[in-house]
Amino acid sequence: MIQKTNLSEQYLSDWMSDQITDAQFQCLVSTEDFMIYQKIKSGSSQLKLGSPDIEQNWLELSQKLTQTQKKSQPKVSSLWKYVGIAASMLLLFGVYQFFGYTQSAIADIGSTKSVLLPDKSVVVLNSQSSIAYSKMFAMHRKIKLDGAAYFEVEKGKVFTVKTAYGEVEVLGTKFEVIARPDWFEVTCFEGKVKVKSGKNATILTPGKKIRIIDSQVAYQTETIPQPLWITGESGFKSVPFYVVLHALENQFGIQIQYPEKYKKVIFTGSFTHSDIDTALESICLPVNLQYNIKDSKVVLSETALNQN
Amino acid sequence: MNQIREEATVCEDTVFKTVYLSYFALLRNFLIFKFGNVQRAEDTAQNAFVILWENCKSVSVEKAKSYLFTTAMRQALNQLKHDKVVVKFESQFQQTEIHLESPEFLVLEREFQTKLELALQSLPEKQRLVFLMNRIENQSYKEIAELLEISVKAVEKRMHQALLVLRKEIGNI
Repeated sequence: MIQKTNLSEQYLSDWMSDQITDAQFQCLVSTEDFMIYQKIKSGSSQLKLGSPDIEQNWLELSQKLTQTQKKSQPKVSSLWKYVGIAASMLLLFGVYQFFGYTQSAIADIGSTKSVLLPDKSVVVLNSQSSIAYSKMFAMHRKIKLDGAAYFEVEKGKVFTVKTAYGEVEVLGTKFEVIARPDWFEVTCFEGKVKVKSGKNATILTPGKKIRIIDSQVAYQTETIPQPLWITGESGFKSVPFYVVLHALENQFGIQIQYPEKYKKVIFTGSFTHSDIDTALESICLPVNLQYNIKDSKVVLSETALNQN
Repeated sequence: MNQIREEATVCEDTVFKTVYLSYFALLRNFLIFKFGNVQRAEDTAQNAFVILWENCKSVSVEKAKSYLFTTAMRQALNQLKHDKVVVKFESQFQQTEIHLESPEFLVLEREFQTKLELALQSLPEKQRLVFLMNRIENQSYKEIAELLEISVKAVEKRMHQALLVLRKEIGNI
């Protein structure tokens, strides 16, 4: 038997404005009702009205003004001339920040950074990565990414990740995006993810990964529940060697020199983030290379075994 | 750059334009929620600005927003007395695009959204205004109370009742 508590007689409006939590609300209504109210809540936040034609309406308004018998009237001219002044005045109304990507977060070399977005989604940035988003994020969930990040997105409006190499759209899910100059990759861990790159689009389901390196598109299956780098390791499956080296460079802030012929050798393996020597060893061993570190420069060379 | 002085009235060109840019869209959308018709909403909204201009000397910048809304409401009331026509609330909603192509997913979502829009049409005007201003235009209960010149409690009550009606309507469709 459901007891209506004395919390408030307007518990529905309290819940809609998040003054009480879902958990509290669930105590007040039946399971079936809760489900439907949830859908009403999220469904209604997806509704939108088309925008008015601001310029056109201004023209019509101006005509009405000239019809009134006032001696002084606002000058009937194009609005756009004044947008510059209006924009700085809008500062006073606090409207100008609406859609600018004014919020940002950066992860330095060798570290990760977790960010909680205004809609309660979580982004974990990998080393040398950054994101930017608008203050009005909850209205238009768009986020710019440079680098690599893992996302856990709250259900709600369409969530879009924009990178220089492609776009990712989701509704509520867990996924990873790598957006580096030589490596664009998206992995879906939970839910569904739509990836757009150029004129192509594809949908990923859990465990599926799409990778675009050198304009080559490849699909893979991923069995781990989240990226390795979240727990301090970078893993690679059948990836060209130069991509692995770039990742190493990003992680430790070093420069790596290596024999040209190894550039496209296909590599499968991983390296730890915690220690550069161990990391270099795990990269070099499988391909019979050795390394030499001087300051922040690393030189890879073939081992005696290979020099025949 | 021009600063708006404390005592600035709306009679200055640039101030009036700024007020227009700040509030026209919100007022027009509010009136769409009310009438269910875009043309009528934009007409009434423009008229509210005309009246604002005519009375600009007595309206300060801070009061402009509520003045516009009150004027628009009054306009609507006067018009109703003339027309005596029952306005059918037409659905004006777009949906933010859902791109996922899974057929089952889209169908379920579309189905529900249709039910929701139908149910919204059955809301009495007072509840509908509060609900849509809050959900679509992201106005807080406090802001809505100011615009409608009612108490916050009254706004909450209308929201609460709107949800009860929606729940009932959706359950029945």
